[in-house]
Amino acid sequence: MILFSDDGLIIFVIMDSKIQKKLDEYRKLVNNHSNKTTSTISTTRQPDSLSQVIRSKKDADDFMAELESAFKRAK
Amino acid sequence: MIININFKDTYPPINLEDDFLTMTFESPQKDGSNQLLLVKIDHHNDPLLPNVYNLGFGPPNGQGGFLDDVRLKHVNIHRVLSTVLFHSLNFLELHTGTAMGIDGSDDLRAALYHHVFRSNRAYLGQFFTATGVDWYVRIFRDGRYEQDEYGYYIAKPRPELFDYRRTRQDLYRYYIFRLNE
Repeated sequence: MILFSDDGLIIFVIMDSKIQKKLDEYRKLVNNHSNKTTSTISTTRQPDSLSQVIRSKKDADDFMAELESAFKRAK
Repeated sequence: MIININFKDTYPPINLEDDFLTMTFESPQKDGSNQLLLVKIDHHNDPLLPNVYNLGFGPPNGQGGFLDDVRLKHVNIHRVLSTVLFHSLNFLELHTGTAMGIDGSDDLRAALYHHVFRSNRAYLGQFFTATGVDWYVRIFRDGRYEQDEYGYYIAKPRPELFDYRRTRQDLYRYYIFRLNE
């Protein structure tokens, strides 16, 4: 991935292999060990602020399209 | 204080759901105790927003959720937030195509995450692309603001790539990040 700093410098960054290894270890932990649990508790979610400004399917579709567009601009 | 995120320095999980929706870990406190913290990822409660999840953490409230209005004195806040964000990374890696949202309606929470993303731009940029969401109200050509039938202004969310020049005096209303592509 390429990042541009505020002063215009180009920064190249890649994911650290140790982090990738740690991610893999967590996945193994979930698959193999006894400290994993499955959710049995019901969750009561309160409406958050984003829900309050999305009133219709059109609002949601417009928002998701704009969000996707924002993410694409990062490439 | 600058918070340094480092995914190599996180607290180990005490419990971890197999779908990564919740995870608990212990954070040592300055008074010598250990505080159990719950990291919770919920599907966004608006069914119109597919693939958007909410991230939060705090002491368990005993009802499956957490308390986010408790002031704690962590020995190592860097490690606490690294643990929370590393869990997000795990979740997003496991659930491809999803995005993680953080509600910025609470000023303290918004300021915390805004600061974390801003001061760890290069590091977190290895993993995530961050956006911020503002609310806008439409202005008609005659100068009137768009209102609903009760006279309330109709705010609409507008996401943009996180603008790292924005300081904590100019927080977003909502934050959404996802894995780099």
